[in-house]
Amino acid sequence: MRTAKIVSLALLVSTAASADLAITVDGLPPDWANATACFNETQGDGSGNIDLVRTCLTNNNSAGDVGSLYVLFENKSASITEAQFGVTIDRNNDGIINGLDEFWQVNIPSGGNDPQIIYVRDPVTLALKRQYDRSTCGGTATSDGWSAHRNSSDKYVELGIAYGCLGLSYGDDTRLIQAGCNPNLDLTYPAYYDGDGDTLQAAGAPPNVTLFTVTAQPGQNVLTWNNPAQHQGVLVLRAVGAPVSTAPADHATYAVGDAVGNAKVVYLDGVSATSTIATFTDSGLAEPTDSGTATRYYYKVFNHWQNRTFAAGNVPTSSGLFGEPTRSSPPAGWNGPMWCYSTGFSSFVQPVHRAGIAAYGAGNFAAVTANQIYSGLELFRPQRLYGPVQDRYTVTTAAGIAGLFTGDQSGRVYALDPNTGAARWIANGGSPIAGSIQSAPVFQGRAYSGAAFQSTFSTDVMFVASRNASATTNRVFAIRPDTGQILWTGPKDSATGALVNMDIVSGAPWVDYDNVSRNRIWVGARNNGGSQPSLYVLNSLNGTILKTFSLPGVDLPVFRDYTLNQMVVVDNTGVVHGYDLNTLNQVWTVSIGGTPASFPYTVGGGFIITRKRGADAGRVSFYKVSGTTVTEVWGVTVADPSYPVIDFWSAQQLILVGSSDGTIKALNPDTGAIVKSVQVSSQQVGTPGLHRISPAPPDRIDVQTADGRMCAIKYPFN
Amino acid sequence: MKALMLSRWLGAAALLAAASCTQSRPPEPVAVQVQPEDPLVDDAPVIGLVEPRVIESPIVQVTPDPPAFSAETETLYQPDSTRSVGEVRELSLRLTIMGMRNPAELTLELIQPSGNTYEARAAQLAGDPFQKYEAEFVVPVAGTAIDRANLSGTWTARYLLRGEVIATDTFELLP
Repeated sequence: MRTAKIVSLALLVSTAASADLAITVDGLPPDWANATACFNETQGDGSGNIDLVRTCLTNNNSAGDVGSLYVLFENKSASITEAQFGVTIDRNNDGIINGLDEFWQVNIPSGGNDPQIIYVRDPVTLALKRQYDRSTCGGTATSDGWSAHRNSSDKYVELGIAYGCLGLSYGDDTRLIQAGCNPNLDLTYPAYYDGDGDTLQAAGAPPNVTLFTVTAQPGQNVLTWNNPAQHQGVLVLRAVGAPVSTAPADHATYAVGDAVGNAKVVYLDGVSATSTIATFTDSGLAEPTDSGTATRYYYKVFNHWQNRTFAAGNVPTSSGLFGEPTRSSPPAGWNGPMWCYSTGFSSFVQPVHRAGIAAYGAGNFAAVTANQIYSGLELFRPQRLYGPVQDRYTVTTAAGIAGLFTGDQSGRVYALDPNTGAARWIANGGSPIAGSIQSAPVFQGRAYSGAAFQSTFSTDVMFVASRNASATTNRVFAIRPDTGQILWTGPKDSATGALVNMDIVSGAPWVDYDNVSRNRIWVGARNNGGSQPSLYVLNSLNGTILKTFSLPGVDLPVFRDYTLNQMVVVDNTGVVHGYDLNTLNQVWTVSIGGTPASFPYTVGGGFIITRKRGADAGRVSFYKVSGTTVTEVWGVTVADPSYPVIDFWSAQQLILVGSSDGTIKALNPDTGAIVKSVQVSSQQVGTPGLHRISPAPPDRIDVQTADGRMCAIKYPFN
Repeated sequence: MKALMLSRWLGAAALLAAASCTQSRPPEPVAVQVQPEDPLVDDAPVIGLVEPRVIESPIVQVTPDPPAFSAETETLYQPDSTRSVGEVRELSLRLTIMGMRNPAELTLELIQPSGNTYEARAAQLAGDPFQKYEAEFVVPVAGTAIDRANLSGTWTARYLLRGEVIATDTFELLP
């Protein structure tokens, strides 16, 4: 026997709980003024006499099932005549509306405002399951009853149903719901109504997780991601031999070990309650064989909410990510990776280091990443930038600020905290200063500069150059490293001070300065079809032009030879030029016989340079400069070589070059002989980055790959 | 009592809503807008936030019904006289969509000749079926990693809407 009725027969009156509204079922709308759970009804989507322009939900439930669900239907005009209003609820909460669920519906009688019967129907077939008169709706001892009313203006209908009848209770009242009216079939879209929070969310797939990465370690892969706001949990699929091919089915029940397409479920959370976990370590995995053959595990992370409605899982792309666990007990002579960090996007940029702390990889991930030197685990979660970074970060302390300084292809310039990746500043108030920044920033230290510089600037100064789409609008910017303030913009005509045309700058400039009077920036650029200079010497105090040279375009960084006191520049046709730093006159030229793949890495009276695939698969050469005579001392074929890197510190000095065959080649600097070839990947690798803690020699190499990873290799090689 | 004529309460909802729509609105061009979140304080939901350019063009709509879904691609070289990685200043990868029914994220995945993914970018589209969306993704080439690493060969531009591939296009870059 029921001992209490929550709902009166005439007017159902609620008491507001938490953020809920106090509703009187009287067909009048004022008590819905602050409704927070209303459908964003498309205007004009009804037909006949009824066009619902506002449909809102609320409840007064705060504990157990004591309370009711209320619905307001508002018609566009005062024309509600005989019609049926109702709400469908996913009663068993499986995310699907089917015959197991219920459609609660009342009929507005002709000539009356108070329905006397509520019908419970199959929401699919509309077959009548049961019906109730005004005395009950089949609820519990603590929650039973219903009420409905149309107001006399024929514009509003209110419906209230006890939680006990609907099978809802506090903490268990988030359901897929749809409301509407008949006979015109003006329906709301399906949405999830959260009774506790009195919120409404359209039903649908949530967004993907973001910033998904995989760190491969000995015997395991560590997966990390960020959960979006629309999130209850994730499901992680793993496949071997090929990317994950199939997404999980919405609302299906999975367990770890279940097969989904070519993959298996290896992690699942958020099934019964929202999970905030954002990492998973997949351990006990196959390690590389003694011959170095690794097992590649592919992953996708599927965010889910609303009864396991899954996101597409295409993070960072539709291929997901992979990791190849490394060897925990390497055999003698092992040169395989110690760890690899996958972000999914190709990069050939040289990683930079903070000794003993972190390796920073730049690339098309459009985020700054940092990996702990020895474990490879993230020092911090990737911090999103606005665009790809295709040159190495400059890690330095300038103007008292320790930072990672960079530009990106969105045209913004940043100073980033090397401990967190957070922005210390973005120049120009966060807006782009150019169409794109391709090259790394360079600096002039105030303490090492002359009086003119010190009287002009109160801090060190950094310089960046643009790579705009235009062949004429490119600029060089002088920026304060501590604030991001732009100090000057060049190049400027030395006589008029007016800005002059400049083509794209893709390679880093070089600041040639001393503690006396030299304040110069050498900048290589394209030449706009021969109509503009391609090598500029600018005054670093104000950006005015000191001298220009008409070369066939210069895309690669310029480099100083301290022994020769020359600036060494390679143009895009492969001719290397030496310029006297005092006279600014050209001293010598030499052709490397093809398109350059690197800047000339000066080594004191000579330079190492790499050449693109052309007459051969690619070449690494050493040239010696003597007066005006330049001769190739040696040259060796390396397929699609990266920039060269020189180990000056080890007992056996080596030149290191990445190759498209997936190896790092170690060359004898005296002969060019390849003394070691270490396989890092099956795909092209970029410029190696040597890590060392001074004064010790380097102890490892980090390198980025075409298959979207940064890998750490022990150095010296075994 | 009037007999209930509800056919399928939920399953038919979208169909009925569309079928009962009698409005006839003149089509308007839509600006593709990317709304990058503050990337340094909050992780953005997309990769590659270099904003796509906006192309506006009118649609000639002769019936009140929304057009069927379609997606067309186009790749333009700048300048068009060359295909060399060292000479092509930039690529314009364009996608035209008509007949979208719901808001969705459009993603471009740029695949290298080796099969590796070079970059991905995204734009949020409002998804009005009466609108025509023209998204243009501009990719710099000369002087970039494509040029320096000599990534010549056949590239693939893969476009996805809500995670589903809706169009692919290929283009050539020469050494």
